[in-house]
Amino acid sequence: MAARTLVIDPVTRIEGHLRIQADTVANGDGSVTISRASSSSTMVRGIEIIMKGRDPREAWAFAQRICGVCTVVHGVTSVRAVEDAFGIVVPQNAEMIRNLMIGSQYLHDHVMHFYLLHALDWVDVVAALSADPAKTSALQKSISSTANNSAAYFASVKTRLSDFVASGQLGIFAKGYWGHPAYELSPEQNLLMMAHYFECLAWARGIVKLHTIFGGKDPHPNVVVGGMPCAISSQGGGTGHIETGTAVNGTSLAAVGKLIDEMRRFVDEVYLPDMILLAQVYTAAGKAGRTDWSKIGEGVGNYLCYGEFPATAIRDPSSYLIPRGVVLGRDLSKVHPIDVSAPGEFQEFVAHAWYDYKTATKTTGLHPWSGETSLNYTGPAPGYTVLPDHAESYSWIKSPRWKGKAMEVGPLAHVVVMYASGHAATRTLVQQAFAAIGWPLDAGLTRIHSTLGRNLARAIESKVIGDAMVGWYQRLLANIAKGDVSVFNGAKWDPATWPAHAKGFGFTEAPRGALGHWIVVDAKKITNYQCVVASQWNAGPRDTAGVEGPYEAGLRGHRVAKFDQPIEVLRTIHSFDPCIGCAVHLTDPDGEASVVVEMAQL
Amino acid sequence: MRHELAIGRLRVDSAEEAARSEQAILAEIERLLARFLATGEPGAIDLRHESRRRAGADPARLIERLGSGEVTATIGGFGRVEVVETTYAGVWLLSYFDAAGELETRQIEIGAVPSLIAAQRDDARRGLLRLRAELATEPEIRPTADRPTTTRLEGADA
Amino acid sequence: MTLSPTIDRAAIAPTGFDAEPGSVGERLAGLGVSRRGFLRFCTTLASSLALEAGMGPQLAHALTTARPSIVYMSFQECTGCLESLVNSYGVTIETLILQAFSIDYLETLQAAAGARAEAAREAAMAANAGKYVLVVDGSIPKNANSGFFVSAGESAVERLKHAADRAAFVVAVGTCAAYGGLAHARPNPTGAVAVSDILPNKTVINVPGCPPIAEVVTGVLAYWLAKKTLPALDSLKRPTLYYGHTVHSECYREETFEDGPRTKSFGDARARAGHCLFDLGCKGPVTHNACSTLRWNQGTSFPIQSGHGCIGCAEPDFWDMGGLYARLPPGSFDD
Repeated sequence: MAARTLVIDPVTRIEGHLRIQADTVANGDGSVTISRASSSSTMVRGIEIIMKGRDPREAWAFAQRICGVCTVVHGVTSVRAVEDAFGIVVPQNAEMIRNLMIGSQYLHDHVMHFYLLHALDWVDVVAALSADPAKTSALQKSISSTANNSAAYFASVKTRLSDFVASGQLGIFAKGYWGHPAYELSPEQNLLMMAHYFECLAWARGIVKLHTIFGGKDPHPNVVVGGMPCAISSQGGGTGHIETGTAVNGTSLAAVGKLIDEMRRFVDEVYLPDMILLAQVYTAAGKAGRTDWSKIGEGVGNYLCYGEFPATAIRDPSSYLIPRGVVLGRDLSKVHPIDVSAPGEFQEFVAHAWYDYKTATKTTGLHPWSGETSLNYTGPAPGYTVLPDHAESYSWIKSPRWKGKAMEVGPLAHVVVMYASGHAATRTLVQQAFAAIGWPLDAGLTRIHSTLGRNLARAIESKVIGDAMVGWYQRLLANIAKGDVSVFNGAKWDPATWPAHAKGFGFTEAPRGALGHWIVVDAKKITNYQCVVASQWNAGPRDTAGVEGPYEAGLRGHRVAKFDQPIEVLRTIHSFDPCIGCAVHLTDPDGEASVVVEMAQL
Repeated sequence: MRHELAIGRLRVDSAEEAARSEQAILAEIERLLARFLATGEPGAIDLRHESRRRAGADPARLIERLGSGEVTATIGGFGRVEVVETTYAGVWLLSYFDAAGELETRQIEIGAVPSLIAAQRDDARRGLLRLRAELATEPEIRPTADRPTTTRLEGADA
Repeated sequence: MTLSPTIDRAAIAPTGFDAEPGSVGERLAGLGVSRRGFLRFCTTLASSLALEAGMGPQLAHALTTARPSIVYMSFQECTGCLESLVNSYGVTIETLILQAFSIDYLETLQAAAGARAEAAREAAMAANAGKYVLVVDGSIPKNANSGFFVSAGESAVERLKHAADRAAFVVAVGTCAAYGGLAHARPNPTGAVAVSDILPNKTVINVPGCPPIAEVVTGVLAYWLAKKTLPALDSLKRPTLYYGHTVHSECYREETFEDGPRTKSFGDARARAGHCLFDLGCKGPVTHNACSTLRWNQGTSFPIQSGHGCIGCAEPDFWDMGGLYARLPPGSFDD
C-alpha cells in the first residue's frame, strides 16, 4: 500500500509556529494510520543571545517576551534565577502576589485554551445550528448551576452563529472540518460549548485585571528582582484615574477578591462541567465502535514537576502546592526526587535539532550550564513540501531529557504528581471525575494518560489552584492588616552589593509545565542565560538514541479518517497546549566555548 | 536612538492646568456653536477624554458652569441617557449610563437637537408598519351609505 | 374599505432597523434594539476607544454594512499583541470576529490547519483583492534563506510580501512588527527587521507597544472602519490619536517629577505615596503612548500606577535605550 507523508504546517490554534509531519500507512478504506511522527518548530529569535552583556535586573523583561500567552511565568522564573544567584529573599507579600499572578495565569490560560484553541477539535460549529434551544437549556441545567441557562439565551447564541454563517463570510471558521465523522457531540452539546466559547472571552478580559492591578498591565505585567514593584498605597490610590498613591489599596484589593471569586465561578460552573461532558461523550464513542479518546494520545508515561506555589517561600519545596518530583512509567506508587543542581540529571540533545555543539559532539547530551550551542540550519531552503526528518535535524527545539528519559510536563504531570503525593483535594476531584465520566479507577489512573485525560487534568488543576488562591489572598490581607506592607527587598538592588561572579537557577511550574532559567553573572553583567521550557520537553524532536518526544510518541498509531482533514492529529497535539515561542528562544551563532558551571543548590 | 524627542509642556500648577482645560473646552463650544449658526453643521465634544487626562478640566465644575436650561429628557433602552439643554441654547449635555447605572461617558453636543433625541427614519418606518398591522386586525367600523366604501392608503416609501 | 389581509404581524419586528446580514447592526436589530439604541451604542463604543466625538454615526453606518476582510499574520512574535487585542473592551474580539470585520485568517484561532487554513487565506485574499486589511505582528528575519522563520514551507519575507501584495494597507501591531522589537535588539542574531522595511512601497500604519493597549489596536481598526481613511500619522507612522503625547505628559505623578521627592526604592514611603519613578529609570518622558490616559485593561491601571517605571515599550529600539533602571540623561527630552 502506498505510504503518504502527512504534513500540517502551520499547526493553527497554538502559540507559535509548529509543523507536524508523519509517515502513514494506508488502511484500505481511505483512512491512514500514523506509523511515525515528527514535531518541528520552524521559527527562532535568539533571545538568550540578546540577553548577554545586560544588567541581570533587566533579564525578566526580556525573558517575559519569550511568550505573551505564558505571560508572567518567564518573568517570575527570571527574577527567581537572579534572586537565587544573589541570595535575595523576597518578602512574604511578594510571594503571595506572585502566587496570585501565576495562579490567575493558570486559570486564564487553561480556560482560553479549552475554548479558543482546543474546542473546535471537538465541537462542530455548523452542527450547533440545528440545536433546539430548549433542549440545550435543559442540558445546561442538568450539568451546572451557571446562570446563563435559559432557552432564550441559547436561542440568541444560535441566532448569532446562524447569522454569521448566513453572511457567507466565515472568517476563522472557513474551511473547518465541519461534518467530519470524528465529531461526536449532539447539536445541543455543540451549541452549549459555542455559547461558552463566547462567554469565556468576556470573562477573560475581566479577570486579567488582577495582573493589571499588581503588574500594571496585561499582557506582560511588571515584576522586579527582590519582590514586586507594586507598592501598597499609603494614601489615596486605587484603579482608574487617581491623583495620589498607587494601584494597590484597600478598594482594589477587595476587587482582587472579587476577581478571584469570578475566576473560580467560571471554572466550577462552566469549564469543569463542560470538560466532564466532553469526556463522557468522547469516551462513550468507544463503546459504539468508534475511537475512545481516553485510550489514545499518551505521551511517554513519564512526568516531571519542579514544583510551584510556595505557602511560605520558594526556598522551601516542602511548602509547595504542586510538589517537586518525577513519576516514571505511569507508576504512581513512587515519586522520584529531583536534584535540580545535579548535572547528570538534566541534559539537552541536539541530534535532530539545528544546532551544533563545538566542545562536544552533536550526539552528546549537555547540561544547560554547558549550553554552548551554535546555530546550524541544515534543513531545506524555503519552498519545501517535505522536511527530511529521519536521520536529519528537523527542528529549532532541543530535546531535554531527565536521566536520559523523555518527560511529559504540564497539567497532566501536575495532577499525576499531586495524586501520587497524596494531595487530598486532587485525589478527590480525580476520583469524582473518573466516576462521572465512567473511567475505571485503578492505582495507575490508566485512563488519564491519554488525550482526554490530559484535558481533564487541566480542568482539575484549574479548580485546585483557583481554590488555593483564596488562601494566598487571605494571607496577603492578613499581613497587611498586621502592618506588614513590604513587597520589595532592596538589600541587593545596588550592583555594588553583588559578588564578582554568581550563578543562579530559577524555575516556575507554568500552566504548560516545568520551566527553568539558568543565569551566570560576571562583573555585574549576564554572561550566560539558558532556558529549558515546558514545550521543549513536550514538543522536542528525537534525541540521539532516537527516543521520541511526547508529541511524537503521542501521535503514533493515530488513525486519520480523512487525509486532508487530520482532526485526530490536532486533537492530541492541542491536548498538550503547545507554546512554541517558549520552546524556541535561543541561538548562539558564535560558537564560543562556554563556562561549564555547577548549578546552585536550592 | 530612533525615537523623536518628546516635547513636554511647561510644568505649571495642576489647578491652573485644569482651569486652562476648562477654558479650552468652552472655547471649543464657542467655535462649534458659531459654526452651527453659520452653516447648520452640528458638533460634539467627548468629555471622557478630559477625564482620562492628568490635569483635565473638572467635569463637575464645567457642568455647573454650563448650567441647566429649558429642556431635560431621558432616553431609555439598555442604559439610560440623560439629556440637558444647558443655559446656552443649542449646547446640550448628554450623560450615558450603562445597564448597571454606572456612568460610561459624557458628551457635549452642539446643534438644534441632540442626535439621539430625533426619531430615526428606520424606527418610524417600523412604527408605521406596526400601526398598520394593528389597524388591519381591528374590527372595521362600517361606514354609512353616503361615505366612500374604499379608502386607498398612501404607501410608505420603500 | 379593503386592506391587505395578509400582513403577518409576527414578521414585523416592533423595533429594529435595516442592516446587512452578519453585521453588528443586524445583530442588534435582531435583539429588538432600535436604530436610536444602536446609535447610542456606537457613540459609547467610539468614546471607549478614545475616538473623536461625533464618530458614532459613522461607526454605526460602517457596522450595518458588509464586513471588511482582515488577514492577520504572525512572524517572530510572542503572541502578546494578539492576547492584548483579545482583551479589548468596546470593540471586542467577538465583535471583530463575528460582526465588524471578517477575520479571514488568524492562526491562533483558525478552525482549519495546514493546507486548508492556507487555502482559506488565499481564497479570502483573492476575493477581497485590494480591499482587505493585513494585520501583522512579529518581526521578519530579512534573509529569506536563513531558515530562521519558515511556515507552510515559505520564508517570512515571502509570506509577508505575498500577503501584502493585494492588501489595501498594512497594520503593524506591536513594537516587533513596527520597529523590529525584541528580535532586533542588539546584537540582532536573526537579522530581524520591521514590516515597513520589507514593504517600502506599501502603506503601513504602526501601532507599537509591547504589546499595544488593546483599545488602541481596535480603535485604529474602528477608525478606519468608520471613516474609510487612516487616522493622522506622525513621522514614525504612528496614529497621533494615541501616540501624540508622552506617558510623562499625562502622568499623575508629574508634580513630584519636578518638585520631588522622587521615589528612590520600590516599596519605600515615597513609592507608597505614589511619587515619581524617574530615578528608577522611568522612560515616560521619551515614550509616546496612551498608557497614562487610556490606561490598561479597561482603564484599570498602568505600569507607573502599579509601581514600576515605564520601560518605553512603544518606542523603536527601547530594549537598547540604556537600561530599564538607568535614569534618562539630561537633554534627552524637553520638559
